[in-house]
Amino acid sequence: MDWRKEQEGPYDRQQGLGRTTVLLVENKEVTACLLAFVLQKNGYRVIHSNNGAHAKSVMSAINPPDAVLLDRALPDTTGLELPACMRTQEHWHRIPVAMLTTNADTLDPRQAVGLGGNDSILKPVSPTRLATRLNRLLTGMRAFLLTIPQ
Amino acid sequence: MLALNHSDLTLRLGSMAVLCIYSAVILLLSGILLLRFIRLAKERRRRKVTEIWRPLLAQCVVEVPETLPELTPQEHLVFLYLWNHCYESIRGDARAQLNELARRTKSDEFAKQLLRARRLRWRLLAIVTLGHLQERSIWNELVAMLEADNAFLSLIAAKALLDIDAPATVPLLIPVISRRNDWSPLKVVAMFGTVGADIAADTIAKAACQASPEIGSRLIRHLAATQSQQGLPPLRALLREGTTSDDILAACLFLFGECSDPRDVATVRAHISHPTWYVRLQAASALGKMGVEEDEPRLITLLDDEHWWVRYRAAEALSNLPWMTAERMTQLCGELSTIESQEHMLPFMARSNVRKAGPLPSVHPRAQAS
Repeated sequence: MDWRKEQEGPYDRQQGLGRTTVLLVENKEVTACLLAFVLQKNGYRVIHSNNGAHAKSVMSAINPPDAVLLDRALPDTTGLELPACMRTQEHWHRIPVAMLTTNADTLDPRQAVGLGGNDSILKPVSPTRLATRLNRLLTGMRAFLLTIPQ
Repeated sequence: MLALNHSDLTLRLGSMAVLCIYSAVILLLSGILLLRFIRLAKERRRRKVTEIWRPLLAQCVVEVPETLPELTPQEHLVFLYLWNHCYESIRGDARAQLNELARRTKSDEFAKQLLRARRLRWRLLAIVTLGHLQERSIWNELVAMLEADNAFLSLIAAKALLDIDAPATVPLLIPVISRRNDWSPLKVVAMFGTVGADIAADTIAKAACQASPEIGSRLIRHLAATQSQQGLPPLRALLREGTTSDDILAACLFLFGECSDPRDVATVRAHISHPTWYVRLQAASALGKMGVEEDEPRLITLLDDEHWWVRYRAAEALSNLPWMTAERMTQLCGELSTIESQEHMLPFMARSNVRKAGPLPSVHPRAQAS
């Protein structure tokens, strides 16, 4: 499967262009497929990357998405390295990052901010909660960007 | 004539040996080819089922499609792996949709058949699936599996029972946890993950009270991982009886330090002069975490303990006291009567000084000045 391709589901085509894009960095294929479906169902366009190295190459190849959903436990990198890498890139440093964490490494949102993210979402994920949290994160970031003078 | 017969026999034996070797090689090659073919077929089947069912499973999180593809028994195995993975990746109402999908594909019936399979991994798959489906009809079989020789099988059965009915499972689990020394305490703590920290702490503490000192002390030490104080009351009651072993006592003191409940300070203080060195050690460490100002002289007294590790932990505990500053530690060290006790304080004084000074400069100040 070519992971560089955007994952387009049945709901994608109904929504048209100009939709909110989410970069999903998740190595487990079943979980990634599930999250992608839930996001697409909620009107997001999803770009999937299945490891840290690929996510980095995606960062240099595509326009910045509106948000990043990042699994904290990736096989080739820590969840901390990618946000740090993003914050150094010109167009990526203000992209909101939600970190997917497990019970073992539960982060509260304040800790997530300390680690370079903007929010943390506990796995296993509740589909409705995921959409709500992502929406809140994006709304908060848009409101923040409006306060910055051009 | 005899020589000719002899060579004839040798020739015949030789050709038979060659024939046998050729046959063995051909058999071996055929075996390898067959295994390779089976593996490829399995891989193809896995890929096919994944391609068909992965999007369907994702869709089921929202709604179960009206028509579903048929599954052969071999495909059903792959489907069950996918279904369980999917089930564990989500929470909330979406799990009910996945359960409906499993019932419609008759996965509950299939899993019940697998429960009697000879292969362990199939049985494990069946137990996990039926646990997720909260299938009550296999309750008795799962209870019997708690006593299985295989620790992994019994742990998975316990987890499935908790998934089916946690309140009914807890009383069953207490004696089993206290008896089984092949169950990893960490796995036991993790098993209660979905049930709740308070139930986990209470169950494990009660099991520890009934267990042998060896198992009980291991369980108590891992109670801190539940991050619940619900396990403390049964242990306090156990200590009040006064008949506990030193291993259990030391583990309880460790836990009291981790939980730092002020109600346990008196118990910790009472064991500061216990005859067993590792009980004194745990009491010293716990006092470092939960002690108040009046405990400082107690820890200073332990700096002259006969056992090296007790002296070391007492020094560490002193350095951990919240009001202990670098200056106070230096003053304290000067007041100590023996060189040995002063030596124990030195590494912690150095650490405290480093913390106070902040991160080391990248260039040595002298080099910078020159």
